[in-house]
Amino acid sequence: MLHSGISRRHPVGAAVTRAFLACALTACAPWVQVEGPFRMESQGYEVVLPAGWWREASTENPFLLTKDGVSLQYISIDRVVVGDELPNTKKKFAKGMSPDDVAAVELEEARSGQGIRSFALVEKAPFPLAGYPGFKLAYSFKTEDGLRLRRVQYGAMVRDRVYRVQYQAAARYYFDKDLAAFERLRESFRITDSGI
Amino acid sequence: MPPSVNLYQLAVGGATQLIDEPPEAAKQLVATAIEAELRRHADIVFKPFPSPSAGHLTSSDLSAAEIRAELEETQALFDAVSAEVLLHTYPSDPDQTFPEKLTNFDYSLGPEVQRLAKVADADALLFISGIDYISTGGRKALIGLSVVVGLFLAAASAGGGGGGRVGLVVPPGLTVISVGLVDATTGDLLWCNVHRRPWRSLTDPAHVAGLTASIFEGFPGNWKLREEDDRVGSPRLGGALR
Repeated sequence: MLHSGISRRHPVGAAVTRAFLACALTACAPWVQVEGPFRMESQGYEVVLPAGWWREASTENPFLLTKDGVSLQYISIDRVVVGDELPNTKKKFAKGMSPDDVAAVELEEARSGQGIRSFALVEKAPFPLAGYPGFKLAYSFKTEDGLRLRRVQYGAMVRDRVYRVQYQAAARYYFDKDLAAFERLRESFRITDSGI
Repeated sequence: MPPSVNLYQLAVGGATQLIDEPPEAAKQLVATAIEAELRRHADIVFKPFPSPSAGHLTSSDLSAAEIRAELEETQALFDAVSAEVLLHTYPSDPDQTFPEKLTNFDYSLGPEVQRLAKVADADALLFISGIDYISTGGRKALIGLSVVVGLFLAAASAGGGGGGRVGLVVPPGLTVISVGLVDATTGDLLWCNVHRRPWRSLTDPAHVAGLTASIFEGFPGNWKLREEDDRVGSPRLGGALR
């Protein structure tokens, strides 16, 4: 598994199984079409959503968007509380960690995901997120089904939470197709008063 | 393209596990059934995808290893695409449907498919995926129990005049076959059909023949791949049914 929010419902490599069983075995959350300003009070952020995307109306995944289907591309936003154990490495963020150290923990967490093959780091750099000192990670990997995926992840620690804004897509065709829409969403990302 | 077939065990709780045995017999059955269906379409010239290990691949610059890697990656993308097609464009669950995909079906494998099309010397590529979810013994027992309990509840409901709908449903295993015709230049999905049926098996010739016949019922004739080329009919399909 890669990240707590997405992985529970959409483990890498199991997307095909999930879709083929097509909600026959477990309840699937409905999808709702979204566009424009969106405020997630409970998670402490607001963002402008691109047109033509669908949001999973799930209480388990706080924020998950897709255009063609989750195994082809998704945008997710979630946050991890400092001190909480990460699912793959069991590591924890500590208050006051530098963006570079947070990025290193995130990178190891991603690399340790279940079913990850041929992991390749493309970029690891300081990058502000919503005006806070943060980082950018870009990497690619293959699932156990042989599907090559690319992911761009932005993150920042804001007080006692690490925010993640990320985009994952099939390396072929889909990643380039919707990268610009993701970057516009990321530029619009703001932490609200409830998130501080 | 060479059919991709995977067999999974489906446990009591719904967990799936890939069965390690290579499903060669099932692959051969699927390949034979689909080749038989394609022969019914006179407007299509089907030719098998050449084996990557064959020494006569003069039309491609790719090595055998590169072709195998291309096959694996492209098939994996097709599997993901066909899964999302099933989930979001088939009306099994309205909450999962993306309506604009029904009017603007823009799924694609990308222009990288040109590399395989060059090897196959084809105008279009036919991708085939088969998945069998086979219930374990424990799950079969639970399904049997659910039928008995369901009958009992139905009888009780009928006798007692209960107004509520009562039932215990344990889904059986599933067999899924998906077939997609892909434009060899753009990678766009020209046609795709996915069928899933309970109580079937990809190791049973009659089941496979029935499933593939259903899939190709809606297969259109008179293919016109690209407007600008004005090429009507007879696309050469780069399949690989060996």
